[in-house]
Amino acid sequence: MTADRRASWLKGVLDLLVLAGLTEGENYGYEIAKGLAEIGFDIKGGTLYPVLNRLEEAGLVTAEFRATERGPGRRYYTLTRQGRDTLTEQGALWLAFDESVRSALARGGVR
Amino acid sequence: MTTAYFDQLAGHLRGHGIPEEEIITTVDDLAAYAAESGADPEEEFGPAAGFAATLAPAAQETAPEGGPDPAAETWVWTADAFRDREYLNRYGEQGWEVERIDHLGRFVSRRDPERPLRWEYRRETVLPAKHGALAERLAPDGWEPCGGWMYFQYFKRPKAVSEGLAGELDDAPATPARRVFFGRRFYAFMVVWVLYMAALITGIVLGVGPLSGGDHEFGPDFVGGVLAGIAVVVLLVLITLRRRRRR
Repeated sequence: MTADRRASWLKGVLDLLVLAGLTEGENYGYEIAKGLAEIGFDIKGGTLYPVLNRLEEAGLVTAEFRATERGPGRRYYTLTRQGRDTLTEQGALWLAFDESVRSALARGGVR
Repeated sequence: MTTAYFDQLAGHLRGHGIPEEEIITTVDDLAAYAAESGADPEEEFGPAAGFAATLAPAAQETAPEGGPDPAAETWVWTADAFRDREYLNRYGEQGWEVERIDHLGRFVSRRDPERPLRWEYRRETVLPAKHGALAERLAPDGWEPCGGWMYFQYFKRPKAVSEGLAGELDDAPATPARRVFFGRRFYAFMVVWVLYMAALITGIVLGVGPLSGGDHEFGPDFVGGVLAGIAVVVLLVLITLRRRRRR
């Protein structure tokens, strides 16, 4: 039950978490997933990649494939200006939502 | 296992009409991910067919050729709003993917002859200004917009997303010969609508039209006119039915 609830919360905010993770600079799939795991969001590649694709489709990130001398190449994702604006706007909406939930829970005695 | 998974994934991406160069870079990137994480690819990305289906839409739009695979079967059809969802899901089960809805409101569908996927559909009633927000809300569950008609917005999702390999179709039935699916409820609705419009127009002519000498306001004259119009239309229908019976 708890896992289901967390999964559905995550669905609504995963794109913002990915965008936020790219504010410090370009990054690639595994490192993005690792960064999210470090702050408590364990997500599979099968969940992350469709999100990255949608963000790229929407023009919020750009992707560039770079071959390596040893082993397979990687696709690097970079936040665009539009992505940064979306993050600011949608992030503020999420914080307002979070604040409302906190107020309602506090009224119900949850601290 | 790892190589087999990525070979399988490449095959499915190919089946979605994704250009070879795009497939190579995608598979390379995912293989790098799997190598670095040390995870089993199927466990990390899910069954290859379903994963390919979730990756395909974005990759297809960046394809240089852009257009649909000419080898794919195409079927253009329509259904009334009372039963469109039933037919969409019935034919989605048979591998038909709606690509768009044309200006006549017909579903332009295609099916990959080699690797057809099963599709499911949903319809939402929404104002045009809210299309974006709705699509955004449904996207995390894998729903992708596939067209709109009036206030209806249609969404599709490959069944592979929820059912993995079971989302693939082993044996696709022949392309349906029928292209129009209008049911009894639709015809009944049309008859009522035509009668209503006829009554309304007759009412306007009798109640507030130039013949009535009224002041053209929608007051008691108008209501009287509409009632008279309904009476005229009912009378005409009864006369027509009686004549038909006599024949």
